[in-house]
Amino acid sequence: MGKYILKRILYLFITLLIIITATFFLMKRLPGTPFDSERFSQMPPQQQKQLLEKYGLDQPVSVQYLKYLNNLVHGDLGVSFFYTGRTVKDVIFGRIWPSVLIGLQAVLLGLAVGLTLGIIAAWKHNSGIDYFTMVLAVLGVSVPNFVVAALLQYYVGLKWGILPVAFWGTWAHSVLPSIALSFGATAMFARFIRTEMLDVLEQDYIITARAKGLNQFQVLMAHAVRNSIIPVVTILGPIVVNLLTGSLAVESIFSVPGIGSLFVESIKSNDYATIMGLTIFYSAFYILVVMIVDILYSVIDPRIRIQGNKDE
Amino acid sequence: MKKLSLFILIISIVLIGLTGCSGSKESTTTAPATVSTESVSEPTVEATAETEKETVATEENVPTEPVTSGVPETASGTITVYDTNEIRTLVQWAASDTQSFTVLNNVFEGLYRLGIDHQPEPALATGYTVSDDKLTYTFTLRDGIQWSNGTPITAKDFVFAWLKQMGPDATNGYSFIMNDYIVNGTEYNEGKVKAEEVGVKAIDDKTLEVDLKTPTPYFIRLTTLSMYFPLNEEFVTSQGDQYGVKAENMIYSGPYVITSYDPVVGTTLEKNEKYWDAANVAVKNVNIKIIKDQSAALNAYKAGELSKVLLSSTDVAVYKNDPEFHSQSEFRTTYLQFNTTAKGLDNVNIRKALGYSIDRSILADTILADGSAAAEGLVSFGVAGDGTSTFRELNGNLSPFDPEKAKEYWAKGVEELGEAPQLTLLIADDSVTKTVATFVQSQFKDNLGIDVAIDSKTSKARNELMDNNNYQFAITAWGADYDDAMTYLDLWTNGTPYRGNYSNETYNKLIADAKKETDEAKRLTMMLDAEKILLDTDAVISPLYYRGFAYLQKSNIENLVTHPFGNPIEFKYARIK
Repeated sequence: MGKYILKRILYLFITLLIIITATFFLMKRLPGTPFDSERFSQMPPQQQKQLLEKYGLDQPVSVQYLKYLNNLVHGDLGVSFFYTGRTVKDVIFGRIWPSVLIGLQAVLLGLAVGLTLGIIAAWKHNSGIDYFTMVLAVLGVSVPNFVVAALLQYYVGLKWGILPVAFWGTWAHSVLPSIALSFGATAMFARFIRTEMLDVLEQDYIITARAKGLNQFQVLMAHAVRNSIIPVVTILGPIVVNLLTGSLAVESIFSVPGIGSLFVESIKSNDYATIMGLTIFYSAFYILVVMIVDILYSVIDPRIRIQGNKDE
Repeated sequence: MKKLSLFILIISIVLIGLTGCSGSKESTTTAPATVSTESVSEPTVEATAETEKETVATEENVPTEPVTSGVPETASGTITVYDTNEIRTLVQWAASDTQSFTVLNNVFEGLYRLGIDHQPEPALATGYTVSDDKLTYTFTLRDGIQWSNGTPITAKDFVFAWLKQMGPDATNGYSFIMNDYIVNGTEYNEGKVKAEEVGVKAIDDKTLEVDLKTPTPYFIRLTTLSMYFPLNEEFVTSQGDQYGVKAENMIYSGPYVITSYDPVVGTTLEKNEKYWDAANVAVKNVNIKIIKDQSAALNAYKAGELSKVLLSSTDVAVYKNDPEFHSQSEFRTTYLQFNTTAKGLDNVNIRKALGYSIDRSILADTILADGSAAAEGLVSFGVAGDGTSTFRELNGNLSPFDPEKAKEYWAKGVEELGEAPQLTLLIADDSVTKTVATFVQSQFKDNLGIDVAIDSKTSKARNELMDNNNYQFAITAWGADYDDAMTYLDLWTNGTPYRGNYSNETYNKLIADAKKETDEAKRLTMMLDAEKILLDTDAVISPLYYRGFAYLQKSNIENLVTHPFGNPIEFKYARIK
């Protein structure tokens, strides 16, 4: 196990290096400079040179690349151009908490509601609740989260006045964005667990479990759910990354100061240091989550971990 | 097995916990104001118009003693406004965006400040004298002015801040707004002269002397801009690179102080009790939030969380008759820039034909319908002229719609060229510009019978194509930095590809002479002539519209002034009924 994790961590660094290199050179191909283009083209050449020199942008790209790598090894992600005077580390960490809070709440809400609905739907196959779940699942996958967000804001926030319309401050402000964000995930979880459960409930060992006198709840939780959870764990990884790294639409509708819009903004404004910082952050996070999911498999299904030992 | 069921159980409990806590709804931010409704005497405006003309403005001209009648001793109430973009920085030598300017303008102050009618009024200075050659300005500072931490504000604070802006530390790209005017500014920036040789000096704590390169009748208006605000050297230096990063890392000289600042969340301001004119600041708290989504802002406004909301073109139709509806146009001109060396557009008749074929009133009133106004020339409505008439009124409509003339010029141009040119319009890919471009394209089709292609690029890519002389004509815009036609007109003297490779000796001479002219009437005539050459004779550009904005504002708020240029929103004069 330890050797396996070490190997994965080594892969992580190699992958990151490839991503950093590719992004760095692609990013430098973006037209324009990180400075306000209208002002910059209006500046006398002497001042343009001064600015470029100040940020080391007058040097060849390969030199800039090596300098960046050197700084990175020393833990320095550089200074943001867009947020003048702030380090990229401050910019990213200053905005990550709201996204993580909303994302985490959305994942938990999605898991709880999605799994519950999916399990009940499979158990009561072809019943009212089954049809309800399926309709909800189709809606959840096909309706984009910004539509849900706008509707929630209008009805829950404005018409009924139950929760704040927008902005960030108290915990109440995080509820509507979390619900809006969880909608798609809920639908996915419900669909996956239902399909898998329907298959598992047909298996012989379920009949055995019933025959040995276990009650309905024990059969479902101990045997059916555990054996159907693998596909959910598989999609859990990407969903967690997706939700925790922020959503451009939901965050902008509810004015959440999260990380969702930062990537788009930094690319638009040629904020090189922030683009790199975020790329590294996203990639590392994604690779880590995939690694954790792989490890989780073996926790849930020991057959994946202990090869050759078939009996449980 | 046990673990998983436990996990689900925990999630269920957490969820019940979450839904159990009913949302603790915050009380709405716009608290009922207790400001008395008695009429508030504003600082008299006529006096300032005179200070501009007269060489000497003394304390008697302006009511510097706080007018306390009608204004309560203690301010109250809250105004909440929003920006659609992050407040990038509060360091004045790094700030270049409207959001930052808005905050800076309300927590700092310069020698002069724009009044309710957008004219400069004495602020930290009580007045100035100017030498006969109009090159040396001597400002006298107000007595008893101090920073929010109690340190006195002196002439040295101005010298420090101005040198910072003129020197190599400034990253906002606005150094030209001093270096173009102040003696040895450019040389200082290039490291050729020492700070003592620059034309800004503190004669004593109360007297600031400024030497200009050329007579600049609008210099007083420049001193209202954020780059001209004072900074306390001792404090700024002690903060190092942490200056301006947090609210507590700054000291303030304006009507408000910052109590919290986060670039993405916004800022909260509170009345500055140390401000010299504090008695005339009636609103105690101001919040500036960040909302990027238009409909979210409208919802927040309706929920009472905002005092003012901007409307998009589609919303204008719905709220047009609402008593809370207002609109205003800015000093910002959107125009077609022709590349005078590009194939086809090197012909002046073709350029004129394109200009005459656009019905700008349909564009402004029907297509945009957001408070924008149809352009009648490069210089926007409202920009200062001779004091009684504006520049635009004096020069008339230089961009009329005339389909007959358009066809005539087109035919003439095609004859000279030998064939009809194939044209491509380069634009930035934001939604407003796309709408404008599509309209312009349809006008060319209707009135000239030609098909013009549209090439839309990100604004950075568009600028790069223009800088590299790789375009025929493009939609671009310029907003005034200060209230004078020169802010627009001197752009076309450098002959760069971005400005259409335009170079005309007569035009350049007019602009150069106007910059040296001490007689204001002559100077104005030169600028009026220059605009005519640019638009009518040479048709280098064709103005389309002056950007405007339509908004709803709570009816209990008065005098929440938005200036059409420079530092937009002014909270100092605001009153809550």
